[in-house]
Amino acid sequence: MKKVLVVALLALVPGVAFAVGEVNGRLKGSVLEAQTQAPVPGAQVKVSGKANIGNARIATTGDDGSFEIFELAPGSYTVEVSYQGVKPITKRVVIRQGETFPLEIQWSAELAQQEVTVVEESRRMTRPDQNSTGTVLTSDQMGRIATDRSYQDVIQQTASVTDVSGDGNPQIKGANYTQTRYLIDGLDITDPVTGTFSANINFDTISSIQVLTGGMEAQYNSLGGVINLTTDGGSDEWHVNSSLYINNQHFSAGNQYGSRLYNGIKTFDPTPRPVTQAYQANISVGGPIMKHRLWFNVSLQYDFTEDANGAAPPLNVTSPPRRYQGVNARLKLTWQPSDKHRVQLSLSGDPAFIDNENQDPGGLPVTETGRFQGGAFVTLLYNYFISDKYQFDVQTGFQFNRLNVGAQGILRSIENVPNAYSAGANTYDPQRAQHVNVDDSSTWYQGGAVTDDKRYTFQFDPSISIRGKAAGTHDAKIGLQIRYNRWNFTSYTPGGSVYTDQGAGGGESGLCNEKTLGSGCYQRTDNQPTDVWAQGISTGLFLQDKWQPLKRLIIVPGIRFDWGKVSNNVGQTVSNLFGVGPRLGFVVDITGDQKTMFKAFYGRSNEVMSLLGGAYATPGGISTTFQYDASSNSFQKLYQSGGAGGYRVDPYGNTPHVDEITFSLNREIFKDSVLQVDYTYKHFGNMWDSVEFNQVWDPTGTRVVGYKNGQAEQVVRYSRPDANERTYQGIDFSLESRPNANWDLYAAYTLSWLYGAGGESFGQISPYANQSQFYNPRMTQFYDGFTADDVRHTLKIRASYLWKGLNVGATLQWRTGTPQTTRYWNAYDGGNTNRRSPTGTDPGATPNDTSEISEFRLPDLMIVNMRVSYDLHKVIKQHLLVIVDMFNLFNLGAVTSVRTSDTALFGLSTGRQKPFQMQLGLRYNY
Amino acid sequence: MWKLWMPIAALSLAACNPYTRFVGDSNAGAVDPRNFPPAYLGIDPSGGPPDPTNPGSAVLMATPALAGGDPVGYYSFPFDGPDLSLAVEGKLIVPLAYDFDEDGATKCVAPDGYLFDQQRDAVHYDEQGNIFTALPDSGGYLPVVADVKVASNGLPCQDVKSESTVVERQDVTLELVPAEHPNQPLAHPTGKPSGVFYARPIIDPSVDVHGPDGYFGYYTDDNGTPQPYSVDPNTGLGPQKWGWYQRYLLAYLDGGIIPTLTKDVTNKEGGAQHVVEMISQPIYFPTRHPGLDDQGNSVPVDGALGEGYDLLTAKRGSAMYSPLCEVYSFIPLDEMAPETSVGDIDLSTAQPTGEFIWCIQVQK
Repeated sequence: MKKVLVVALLALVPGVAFAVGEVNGRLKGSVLEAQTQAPVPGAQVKVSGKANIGNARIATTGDDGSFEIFELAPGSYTVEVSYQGVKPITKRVVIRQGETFPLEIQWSAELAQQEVTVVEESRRMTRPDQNSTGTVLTSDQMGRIATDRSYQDVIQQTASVTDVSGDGNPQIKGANYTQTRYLIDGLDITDPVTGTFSANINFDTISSIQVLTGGMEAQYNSLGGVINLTTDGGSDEWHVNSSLYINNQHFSAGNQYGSRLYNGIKTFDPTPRPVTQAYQANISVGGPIMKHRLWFNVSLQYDFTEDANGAAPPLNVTSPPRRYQGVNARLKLTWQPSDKHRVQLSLSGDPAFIDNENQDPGGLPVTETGRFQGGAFVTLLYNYFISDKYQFDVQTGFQFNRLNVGAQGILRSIENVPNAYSAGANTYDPQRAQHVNVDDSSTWYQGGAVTDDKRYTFQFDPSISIRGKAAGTHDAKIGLQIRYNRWNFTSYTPGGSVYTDQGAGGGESGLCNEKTLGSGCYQRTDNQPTDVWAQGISTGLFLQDKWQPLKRLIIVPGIRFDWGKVSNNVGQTVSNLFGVGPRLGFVVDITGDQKTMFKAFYGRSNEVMSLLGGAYATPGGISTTFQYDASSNSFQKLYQSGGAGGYRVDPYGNTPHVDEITFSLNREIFKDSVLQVDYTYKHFGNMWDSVEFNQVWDPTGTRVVGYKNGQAEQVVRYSRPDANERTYQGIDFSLESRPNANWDLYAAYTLSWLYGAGGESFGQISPYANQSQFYNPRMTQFYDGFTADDVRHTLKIRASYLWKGLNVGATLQWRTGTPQTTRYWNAYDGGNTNRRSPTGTDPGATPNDTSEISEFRLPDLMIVNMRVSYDLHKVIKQHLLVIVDMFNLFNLGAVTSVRTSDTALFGLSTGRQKPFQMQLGLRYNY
Repeated sequence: MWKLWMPIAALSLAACNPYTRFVGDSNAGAVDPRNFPPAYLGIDPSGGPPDPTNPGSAVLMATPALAGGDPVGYYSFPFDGPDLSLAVEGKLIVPLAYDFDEDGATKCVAPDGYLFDQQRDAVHYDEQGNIFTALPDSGGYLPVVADVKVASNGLPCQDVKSESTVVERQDVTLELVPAEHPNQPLAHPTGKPSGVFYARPIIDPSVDVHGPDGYFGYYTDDNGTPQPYSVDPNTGLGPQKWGWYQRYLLAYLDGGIIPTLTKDVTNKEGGAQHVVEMISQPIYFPTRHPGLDDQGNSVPVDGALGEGYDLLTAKRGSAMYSPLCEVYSFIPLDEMAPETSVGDIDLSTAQPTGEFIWCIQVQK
């Protein structure tokens, strides 16, 4: 049963606690006398805007003429600077999430005598007071390009953010996809077990996304990056936003390609195209419940998606489509009872059903997998503006998620393919065991184990901000971050067993007959049911400052202390870890005009609570593997795994961590346009993994010749070995430009290297269990080199032009292929788990010659998407947008996955990029 | 800007070697036997042909035989004969093998406090495996190597795994012969042969080798009957030994020294040649021996080599031992109880079959 658990958790990794999310921006500046540059103290700065609930925000300039206004919701604001007895000067600024708008006002009596003029101020895209790298994407920018309407997709437009696995979980600067943290309105909604995003929300309610890729202050504790979303919270005006998107195969190209790398479209293939369609409907309503005091925003999104892989070897049967049906519902309330208090409450839910998830060309519909997923979360943000110097904040929330996955025939219903293979093979029996024919990688009769996985998160993050002056200005913050997670898990294997058949040829005829045995029989694994839980608690204390001792220099010191403990359902302490994370950043204004900035940063983040470690280190049901013995025509016990004796814990020391060094140089080359170069070095150390230590392999690593404890069983230690490390080095060249309201441009090229002996946690990068360096010591030397998620070159371009309601936006992403590793048969494992060359290589056609070892990578991938939309406002006086999205504009069919086992099917493609698709949309804004 | 960034990038990337475990003379894993002749792959227990792409599934058993009345076992491999030459005019026609510390006077250096842990270590790090220079992956494989003696001189154990490295190491002592074609790429000197030849068939390293009955001692079963171990109860492995070929780990059977003679022969062109040839020992099998008829009755049946009644002239360790056998048949006096020693055979009935085989006896 441990195998079932392992498979269920294959893609999982720890949830680090903590990341206070910056949901607002700020305005910081000074008022200077234009002629003498002398500070103007005592001027009143009044900030008002639609995004600001409550009364206008007011500050008074200090002796040095400076002012600062905090916690401004992202949006457009009017800044009015007035001095007693004279007319005010008015400016307009756009505040972005997590960023400071620097505003310097040149005051003169003559200017103040003039009529009021409003000038849109250009912001400093050099982010002159921040160490962090990354960007902020606004709803306006997101609305101008074709995306799959999810935040996971949109953020991939940022340099160093890449969805290598293609499953919607992007990786950031060398971290694996389980090390990205996702925050929605301040709540860390990162799945506590999988480390992936755990909630979908209505795309139209996202007001902005802050993508932090590095150089983060001490309030953040992420081994990867941070994706920080803020959502619409209403305003004093009523808004309705409704949209409908239609994506049908009649608007799309087929995806029938040959199975070899060099094959193109199968011109003469009469096989009907598989279904590809998606429909989405949204409505979002926001407005005041009490003007200036209480706002609301409520939204609902419904998704229906169907897509299928075309017929492909070995069975050449088109699977019934993968079908997704989901609802995202959300309510957000913003309440400002007084100028000193602000409360935001939000409630979200995202239940969804998925049918026929596998789309495995080696399986008939009866082997498909179904799923229910979803949950709900509630967040509460409280700001107490005590004074200009002090502010108290609380971010708290609760989240529940459920993942019920398993055999389609049990959780959902089977949609058979008529006339394909035998009636027996197409008849679903919930008590029948699954057979896997390794001769042709086909699967028969039954879907996978049925798992029910429930996760609970509670977060409580109070913090105090202190601003003052001492040898310069200080903007300090101290906070506590408390998180509790719980994971409940049950699973069982339909039919109780899984047969691994071999040696009698491919297809159904090569399967082992369970009654008579004989030909085709190889191994059988009996799985006991599992019912376990694990829980964890973690606490983080952070202190950070933004100290500006000189006009041209900002120093950003910080430190955080993290502690976390995980225990399981039998009372074991799985981990009890502590980590110290120092941070130090420097921001230097080279030219003194905030147009050329040099930034340097060092920081360490620690992962003190891994509920995935706890999930593994639980006494699940025992899996017993039997080997077929031809002489007695029976199955004989080979080994067992799982159960209380199947693992050990290693609770203390070796806290998983990352050390990061970043250098950044940027220059504003013209108005609202910045050119930037970042160099990043990151070393990830002591990642979690399971270390098998009982099996004694022969010197070749193909046979187990003994067991240390004398019992034929696998015993693993859940630990954080020194050898489980990876290193990232990357250089980003980026250009971000928004010279006027018409243009929005972003281009980034990343050159990076990702390598390491371990490179992953719990095998989640390798697509197979038992593929870690810690499973078979004879294979250890091959776990070396560029990791499976290394991408050498990435180019991203986003460009859009808006003119009189007509918008044309395009995105391009090109990246080089990821490393693959040729795998060889291991008779003991009953699978291709061995290697003969390092990660990312193939040993070559001539055996036993290291000079023949060559890099083995997938082909390059290029995706070009385009959006054309037109706002009919000029025609009908209503904001009705007609939208045409085109995905994979050039209908490219690059291979995205191949068979890497040393079999007759080696090198054949198992996946290609989706073909050209067109989507039509209508959007109404009121 | 470039002036600032490029040196930083160049400095950091200089240390960007991703292969920290797979450099130098590191372990490149086990030899891939897919091009080995079938005889060196063992047999498939299910009766099918051995499949080198399915490693770990085949077994290699010793053939039971008698020598001087004592039970022995030998590993049989075909000999492509009839040429018994090993060197012609001083030029070797068999590959070299570098034998470490054979005299026992020196020994490689183990890591401090080293204790062999079979779960952790593929090989013993208090020994140095011998280095081979050819694999049985071409036609006409001759499982013979010409010995080159190497003495460790501070060499960390298992630190060398290829010929090109051992001839360049300063922490070993060996005599060298300059490269025959020094201007060729990757040319290097080679070790000087000692003049001794060993029979060392290289086998599929993943094959489950079973020793002759009792090779690893005996245990008493539940009935109190002594039962032989055919694999080492401590390691689960047979009598194969482990060496290296161009960083790859290989397994071989140590068949011992091959006796040789030097003689002058006439070559095809009619000239005289100075040739080193192998000396074989006779192996006999009875033309008839006990068997079962269709009804299961014990009756005499036709005999062949390898059916359990083979008689070897010499055991391993004796002066007459050779790992190369010339095959003879003989007529037993009693078909239901064939002779158990060569000395008992009526040699006048012995007939050469014209075959030679490798009859490798292993020694503890």
